[in-house]
Amino acid sequence: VAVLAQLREEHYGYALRKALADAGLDIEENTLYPLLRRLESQGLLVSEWREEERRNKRFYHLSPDGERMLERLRQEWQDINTSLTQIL
Amino acid sequence: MTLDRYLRDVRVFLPADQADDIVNELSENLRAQFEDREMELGRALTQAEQEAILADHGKPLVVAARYRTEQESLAFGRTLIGPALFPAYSRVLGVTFSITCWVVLITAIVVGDGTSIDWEPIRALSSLALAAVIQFAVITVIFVAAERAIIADPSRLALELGTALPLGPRSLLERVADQLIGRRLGDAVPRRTSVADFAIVAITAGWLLLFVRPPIVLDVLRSGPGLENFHLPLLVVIALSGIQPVVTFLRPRLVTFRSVARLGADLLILALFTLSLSTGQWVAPAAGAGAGPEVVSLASEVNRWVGISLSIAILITLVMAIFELYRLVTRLRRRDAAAAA
Repeated sequence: VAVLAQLREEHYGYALRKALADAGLDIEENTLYPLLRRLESQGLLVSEWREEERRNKRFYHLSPDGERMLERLRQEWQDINTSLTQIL
Repeated sequence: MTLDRYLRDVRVFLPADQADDIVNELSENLRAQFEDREMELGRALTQAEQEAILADHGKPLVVAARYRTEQESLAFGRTLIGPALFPAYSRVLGVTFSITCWVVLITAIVVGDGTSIDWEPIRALSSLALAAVIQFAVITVIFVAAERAIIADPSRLALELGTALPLGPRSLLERVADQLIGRRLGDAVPRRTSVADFAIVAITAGWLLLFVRPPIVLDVLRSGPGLENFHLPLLVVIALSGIQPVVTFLRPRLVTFRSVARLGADLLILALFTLSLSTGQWVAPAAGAGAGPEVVSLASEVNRWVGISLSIAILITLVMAIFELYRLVTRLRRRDAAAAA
């Protein structure tokens, strides 16, 4: 959810990791980078190689399917959160 | 370990169709991380700092395993070799079986008349099948043990395997050589390595002296010229090679001396093995046993198997010599470059 949400804005791998860490979610590179590729293979992300600061980087952003999936996951998360808040 | 080396090791374990893409992306991410750290420090990173970032990122085998979508494993009821090690396991099996095929083929030519492969197809296939079963068993046991160790202590052995087993076109033989002739050495030969070197020499020399000393007479067979003429020279070379571990134990910084000594010993052993192989006769019918067809056939069969074993030994020694030479040249070049700098 966090990755999909963060990729509403375009990021490349390392920048995404930093953005997530700044938001308090420190994900290992070894988990994050393969995850990006899997999400892309599932059609939830799209990527393109582009030059930035004289370097080729692979930028990821949310695909239309990814946006729909994010909305679904966000709704599920809110439902669970509401239930747990009541229980606790 | 440099970034390029690290990426090369990761690539070895990646699915071939995605390797370039993954490595390019990983390379950019790691370079960005380097730059970020450099900006924090306000200076270029040292080699040690770069290595620390790479170590933190994870060992190549473990990193590559995360990118594999297919999670192959070997299981009989429970998982014996998991997805992290399975790619390396299957490659090792493939490579060793290919080598065996070549050795069997070369041996068939060398032990035959040198012009044709004078071997019955069924006999050749049975040799191959036996070798394949032994290899499968040995390699599987090693990898199962490694897998158990990973489960027991993933932070130690699982990560260590990441650099111990990369098997690419170039690093495969390099790493096999590392395992055969000792791990890559830094500025000094660890004393435990010298002790291990000496133990190997002592065991080999003792075995040659006590159990394989000609003339040997066993029932209807006796030792032949392939053994008798080369036993003493081989024993002398092995015994002399025992000087090296003694010297490096006392003077651990003589790393180049170790390489030169080992290379020299490998070449001498290679020459002796090759000369011995050319005789093709390590046993012969014993005097008084008569030269009946059964005894001649038995001697021929024993000679055939000794020939195969010796061919394998020659191949292994050759690989060891090539990589000892490679290691020596690399070390000398690095030293020259450091001196020039």
